[in-house]
Amino acid sequence: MNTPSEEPFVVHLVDDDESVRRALARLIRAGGFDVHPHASGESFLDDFDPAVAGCAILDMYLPRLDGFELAERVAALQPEFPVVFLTGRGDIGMGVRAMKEGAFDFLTKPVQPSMLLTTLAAARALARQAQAETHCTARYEERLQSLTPRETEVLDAVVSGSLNKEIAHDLGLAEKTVKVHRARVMKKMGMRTIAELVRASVTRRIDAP
Amino acid sequence: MVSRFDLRGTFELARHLQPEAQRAVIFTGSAEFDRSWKSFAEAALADVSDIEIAFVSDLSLEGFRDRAAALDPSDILIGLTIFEDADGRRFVPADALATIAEVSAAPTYGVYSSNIGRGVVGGSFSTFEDTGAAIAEKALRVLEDPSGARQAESVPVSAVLDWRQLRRHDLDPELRPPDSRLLYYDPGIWERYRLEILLALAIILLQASTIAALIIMERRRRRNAEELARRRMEMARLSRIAQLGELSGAIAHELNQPLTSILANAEAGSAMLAQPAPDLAELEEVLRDIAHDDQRAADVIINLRRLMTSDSAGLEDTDLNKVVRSTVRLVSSEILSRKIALELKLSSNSLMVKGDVQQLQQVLLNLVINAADAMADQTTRHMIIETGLGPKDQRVLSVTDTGPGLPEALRDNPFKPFATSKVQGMGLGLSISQTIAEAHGGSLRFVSSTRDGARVALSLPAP
Repeated sequence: MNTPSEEPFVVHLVDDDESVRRALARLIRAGGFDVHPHASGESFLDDFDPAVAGCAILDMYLPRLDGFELAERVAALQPEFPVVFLTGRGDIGMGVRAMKEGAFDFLTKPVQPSMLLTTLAAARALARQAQAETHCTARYEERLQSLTPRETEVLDAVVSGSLNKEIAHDLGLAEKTVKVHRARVMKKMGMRTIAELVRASVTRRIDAP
Repeated sequence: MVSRFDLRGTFELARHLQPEAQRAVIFTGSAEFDRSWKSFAEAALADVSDIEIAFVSDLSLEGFRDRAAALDPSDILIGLTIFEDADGRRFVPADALATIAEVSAAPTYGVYSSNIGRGVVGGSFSTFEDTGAAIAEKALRVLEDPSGARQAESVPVSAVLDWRQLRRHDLDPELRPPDSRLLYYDPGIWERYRLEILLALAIILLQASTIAALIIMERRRRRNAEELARRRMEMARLSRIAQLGELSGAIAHELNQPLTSILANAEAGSAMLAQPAPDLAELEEVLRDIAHDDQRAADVIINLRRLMTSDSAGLEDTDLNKVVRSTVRLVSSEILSRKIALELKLSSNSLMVKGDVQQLQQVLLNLVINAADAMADQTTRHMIIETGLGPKDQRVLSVTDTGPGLPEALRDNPFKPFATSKVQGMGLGLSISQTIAEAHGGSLRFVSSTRDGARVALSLPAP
């Protein structure tokens, strides 16, 4: 279901009740998600790849590994991985505990399809955001790496607010040379204005491609 | 010796017996002698004025009979002699009077001792016995003093009554003159065997009351037993409902599972339909799943309702394994939430018993919850539900746990009502379960109870 340009987002569905698993998987798939149904926590852990974005829908009562235990194992592998608890006999205490332990959401059966899909969409949006975040930082770092040491010096000086004349003086360069370096930095970093360059170097990320 | 007739005495006797009589009717025949009797009688009764005296004569015997039959029952009928009737037929007077008395509506009296015993109520006359007694007396007197031998003497008269005729005319024997004699007195069974009858009656009465008391006691006992059984059933039902209450979370889960599936399938189905080219095969599968889950929810409800109603289906042929499966389905999420590993070791063949499904489910529910409760503080929580054949073709259903075994206080009699090891618990579960087992002709007992666990077995006879 992922368009080629998008990063994969896998919904892991863990429920030991076959008919529930089948129906929810169907619903999630129809909602436009890539779903991996699992009958047990163990099979989910086997399939789990921390590098791939996604979220887990865990039934609270599972044989052997229950929902909470499973969530702990997942968190150990990928702390940011969103976990949605689903229970057929939830009470307030359990919901509170789930949220305290960092659950992304706590849903009770029979879950409203729209609510489940909304939750999944929110999880995916969050993952996308995180991915975007990673991309921006990576982009900044990447572009920063492309600068020569001299250009890096010029960048730091520009960002700290020095004028060309001051930079030329500080670095022992001609003002004209500073201007050339500066133009090259702007180009390499993909910046149009000094303000953009300053923001990028403060946040250490570049949002736009 | 002269026998005497005593018309006046007879008349007085009749008055004695019938004080209410308004009329005395006197029959005489048509012979010369009869006529003379009539005139004698008219003279003898001339002074009677308080009741009507009617003389009837010159009738044929049939005429006399008809007249007698037409008399008022309160009348007095005195028959004098009928040697000859109006038709000139001749009779023995006693025979003639006997035929008349036979049909007479009024009590009939005679003046001759020969009438007595032949239909008349009575009369005043000398009987043969009186005559005999008088002769004997006279003979003795003559032997002592022969001078009076020729002297005529009359035999004394006395009132003689026929008890049977008194009865026939409904006359009160108590009204008879004190010196009268009652002949043909038949005291009846009652008077003859009064003591025996009283004794027999007393015995019968005693026996009857004993029997009645026994019946009443038996009925009361049965009513008590029924009442007790009814209360026990009600207690069992309440205990069942309480148990279901404790399991409400698990039961909600059992219903929520299929509802979740149905809802998800329905939504997924409509999403599929919205697509330009819906996959009809998959849609069909979705619909089949919905129907299946719907049935699953219905089964839970049927199961629940059976457990909650007070009217049981009674004993029917039941597969013990089916009972186990339907009960386990109800508690499986409870078992799961308590992190208990449940193992089913059911006999491969069906295990038929004559049983009440509702009650058998209750017993198993109780055993399972007990086992689960017993293992609450254990690290290893393993439960085995096993069915199979025991000795004598008994059907055995056992629940084994890895709990700490029976607590000290319950070891002697774990089935005692109100004995419990639980903080929240009435201690009725096992007691009720045992009652149910016994009502099925079976038994419930602890097969083993060690520190490593307990095993309880329900044994039921083959159907």
